[in-house]
Amino acid sequence: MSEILKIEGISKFFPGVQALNKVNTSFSKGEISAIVGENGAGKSTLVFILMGALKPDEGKCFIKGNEVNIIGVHKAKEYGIGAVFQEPNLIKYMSVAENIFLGEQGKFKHRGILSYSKLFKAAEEILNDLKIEIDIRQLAGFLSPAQRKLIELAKMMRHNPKIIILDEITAALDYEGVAKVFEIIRNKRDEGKTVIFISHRLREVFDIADTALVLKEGKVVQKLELKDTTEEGLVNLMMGKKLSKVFPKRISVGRKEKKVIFSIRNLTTKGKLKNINLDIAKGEIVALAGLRGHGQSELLKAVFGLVPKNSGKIFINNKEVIVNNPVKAKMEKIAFISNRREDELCFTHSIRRNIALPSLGKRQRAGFIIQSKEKKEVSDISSKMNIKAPSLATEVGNLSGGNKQKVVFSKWLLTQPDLLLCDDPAGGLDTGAKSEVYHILRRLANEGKSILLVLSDMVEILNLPDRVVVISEGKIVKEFSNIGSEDSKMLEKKILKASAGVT
Amino acid sequence: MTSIGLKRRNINKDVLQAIILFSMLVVIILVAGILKPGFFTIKHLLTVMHDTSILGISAIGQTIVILTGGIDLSVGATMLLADAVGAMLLGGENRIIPILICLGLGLLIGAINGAGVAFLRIPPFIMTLGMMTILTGSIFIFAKTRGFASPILRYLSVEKVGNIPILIIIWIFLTIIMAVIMSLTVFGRAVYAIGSNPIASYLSGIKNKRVIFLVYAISGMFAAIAGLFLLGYTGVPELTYRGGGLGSEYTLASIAAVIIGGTVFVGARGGLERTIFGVLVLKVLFSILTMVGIGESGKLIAQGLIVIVIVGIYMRLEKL
Amino acid sequence: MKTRKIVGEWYIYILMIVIWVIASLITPYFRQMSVFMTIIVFSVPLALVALGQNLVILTGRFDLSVGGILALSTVIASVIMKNNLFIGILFPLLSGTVLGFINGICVSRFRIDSFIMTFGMMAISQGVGLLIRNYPGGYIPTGYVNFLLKKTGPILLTPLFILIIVLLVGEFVLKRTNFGRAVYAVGNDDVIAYRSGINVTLIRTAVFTISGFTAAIAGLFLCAIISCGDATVGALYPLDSITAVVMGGTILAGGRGDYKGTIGAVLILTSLGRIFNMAGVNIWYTYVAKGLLLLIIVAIRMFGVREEKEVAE
Repeated sequence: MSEILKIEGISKFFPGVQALNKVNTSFSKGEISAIVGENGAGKSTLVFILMGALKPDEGKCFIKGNEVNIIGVHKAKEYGIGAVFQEPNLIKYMSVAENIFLGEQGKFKHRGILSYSKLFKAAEEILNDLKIEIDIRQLAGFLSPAQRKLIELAKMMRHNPKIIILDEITAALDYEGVAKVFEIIRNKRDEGKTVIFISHRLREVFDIADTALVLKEGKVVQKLELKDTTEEGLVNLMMGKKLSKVFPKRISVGRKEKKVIFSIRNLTTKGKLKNINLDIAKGEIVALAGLRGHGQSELLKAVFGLVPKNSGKIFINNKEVIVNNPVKAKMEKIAFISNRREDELCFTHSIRRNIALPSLGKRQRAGFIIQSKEKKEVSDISSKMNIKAPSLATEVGNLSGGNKQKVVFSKWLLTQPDLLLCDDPAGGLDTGAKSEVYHILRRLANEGKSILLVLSDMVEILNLPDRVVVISEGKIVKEFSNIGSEDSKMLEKKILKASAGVT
Repeated sequence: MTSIGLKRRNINKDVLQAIILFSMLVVIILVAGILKPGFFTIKHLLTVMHDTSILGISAIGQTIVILTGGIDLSVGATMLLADAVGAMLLGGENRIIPILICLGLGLLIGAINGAGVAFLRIPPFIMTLGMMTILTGSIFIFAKTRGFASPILRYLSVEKVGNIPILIIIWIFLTIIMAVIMSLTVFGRAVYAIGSNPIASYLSGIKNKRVIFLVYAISGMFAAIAGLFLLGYTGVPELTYRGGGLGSEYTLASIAAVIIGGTVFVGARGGLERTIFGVLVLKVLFSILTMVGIGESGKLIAQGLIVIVIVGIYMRLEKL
Repeated sequence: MKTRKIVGEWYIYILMIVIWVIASLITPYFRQMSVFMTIIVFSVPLALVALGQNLVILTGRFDLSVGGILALSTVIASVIMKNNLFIGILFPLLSGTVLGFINGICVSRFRIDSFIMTFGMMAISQGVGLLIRNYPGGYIPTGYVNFLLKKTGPILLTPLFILIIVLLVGEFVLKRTNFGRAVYAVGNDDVIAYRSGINVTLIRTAVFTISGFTAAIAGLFLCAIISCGDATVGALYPLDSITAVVMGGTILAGGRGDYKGTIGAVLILTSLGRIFNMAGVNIWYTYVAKGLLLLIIVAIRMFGVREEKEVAE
């Protein structure tokens, strides 16, 4: 295997942080390399430098032995580097074909005029080459998350790059989507391309990558062949902590005396959900699993009143409640934590204002906020949640991902909810912060709150909840109650089968 | 992200913005004082503030609208409508009903704006632009007879208590009331939250629509109040049609004052206390320009330049 | 489904025809060719301003300075044209382009909010105009006026011609050039556009520069109509052009819309004044009608958007 991309002594400073500290490494032709590390380890910085979106403060880049200066996304393109970014990268109101050739539609001309038929033809060729079957005339906004990622892959391929960088490409995908993406990646590797793969899901790293570059605090810990190590070993390298300690212990005592406090009966929505029946007991953590986009998130939203219900009833303590907006949900002691943290927080406001927001009504007299009470409650909950910040006046936008999520938990806990709905609560966090979130959830369950989660990471599904409910095509297809006691390999297979609709 | 970086950021933005704004006002006043020795007398400063009060009152509503990430282009037209209708109904006599009708009219106009923005989800710019156009036409259609301000209105707008013009006291009083509401009530918090992130506030169980509706209604009412005092100040309604551009010069000035005050369009920081400074900077600057004999054209250029420059400075601060 | 799409795309013209038919039923004068020609003549400047405005709004920004730039253009022309026609045309164009470019650079490079930037520029350009010419006046050569507004029979060929050319150019640029597609891309999502290799700064600068340029051309045409330079003549243009663009179906947030709708809206807006005038109604009703029309159209469209949103999610 020949070396194609080499970096030497790359460093990058941000105000107050050294994101990368003299990083040396190289990537070979026909190899899939994973970059792993906690958030803040420097992964994104390194990737952005390779993509030309950031300029390193020092260090050199070599492609095939020649020194190059990658400044600007255009330059990266010229050097044969293609990237799929973590965030969505398609324009909703343009056709798939136009998206694939975005910015270069002018290449397709007929007598000097932009020719859509030529453009469509070229786009079709790219998709055929990747064996993707999607109507290219469709607007990109109508695609499923998995289809969107495939189109983004296709868009990157328009320049036939030699080095392919995939930043968290699987983050929004289900098992099926991941499989399709992986198939394409493997094909490209076999064609002799270099693939650099970043993912938080270690399982996937082991599935797809040949080697792993482990970063910690801006430095390279080790570059190793993955066949020489295990998941446990990799986590140890990343954070020096054992995987078993990442997840809290389940306490089985509470589950013996199950007291159902929350039930859904025959819930059907305008969207995907059909006839959902679900009970959640006090102090129980229930996870919704299955392929993404099959209605798991919609179920949370329907319970919280964000998605209109066609029929069905919701009971709390055997009393029917009607929830059709967040205001009512709050009154019924339901809290919802979205998977999009940017939808939960006012980034330009202080921690105190953010935490106080949903529970404002509880601390008011004739519309005026009782300041002393607010101050006390906010500081109590933030120290309980272990939020790390200089003061409660700190703007939330300046906090790390883990601390942001703790602010989100704090603000909802002040409403004293009985039922907590969380959509992928640890998504996008580093392993350390993930672990903290898991412990928070378990602690809340032990305190008697009922928790309904949507999870997509198999490791989380197997280790966090008390019970797993698999949803496929809007219906509950299977429940697994004894998560703790079953063999995890067997359970994983069963869950995957159920998700695919095989019963 | 380290704590060092955090602390530096925190001190900078708010305090520095305030310092810059304040020192700018001081510099402008100093310049004025050098150009015209009599400027520094308390009496003269109070006169400048007196001139500023009406703009200041109209800018109160504009500030809270801009805090929610919206804009109210109908402020000027609402003012002129209250001005014209007030004069017509008062006819130079002390009557309470016409005053109430004017305030109600302002509230109604604001409420329609609010309903359009909140419930029909029309972009604020378009909604208030449409309202401004409609009002501009309506003023000239319906206000056929001219009238006069009532003596009490005139007294409140022109007279002084001791040395201090009553209008200044009214302006400061209204600002303080609104500032208290904005910083100490649930409603105020909700306004800021919506301005910073409407989705987050909705998901937190804030009744976004109701708050937005109220904000525009309040803005309409303050515009009507400002319009009534404008009537009191000039005695007769201002029924001249000046090009009709962005509502009228009052709308422009109220927006400019809020911008200079540093209430940013996105992010919901800032507030009413800042707008006071914004209004003063604008007006003192204008009075200097009048003093040195630069006319309408110079004022326009100065207003344009100062708005752009100060926003440029604020943006540098954000990046620190 | 298909008819719905067609109606969705051409509703503004349907509305225009409806208004014209009603108007000609109410007042027989409206059926005259000369009235139609007046509408065309007054549509030309607004159509030109709205072309630039349309590009800017498609990128998700505003240009409030078009009125000031247009007025400045008439003022400069009225000063210079009597000496040298060529320079008298060149300088207004130059001033508009430069001011537009400054807008563009400040918005794209220095990231000043476009509302604030062009709000400031509106005041500056109008102030400069007033500085040069405090009251309407100056001289516009008769030959120049005749060239633009010459009658061939009852028809004014040049304005009609200009309007059609502007419409075709606008549609062509938006739909069939790389630049036009890039404008849509930037308006939809500038980060995605940047990552796709589109020079976002350049596109943003370009649309503001073009907007300044078209506003200046509009000024050159307008000074032939009013036969003088007037520093306050542009006051209504920023809002009228935004009204036209939005009525024509372009989304204020950017990324969706086109120019043909804008032209339809321009024709409606300029007809309204004529119609009320002919029907002997108080001219101020035009304002009320304009405002109501804008709000009703946008309100109806917002219902459509709600449906669409549900489908997309």
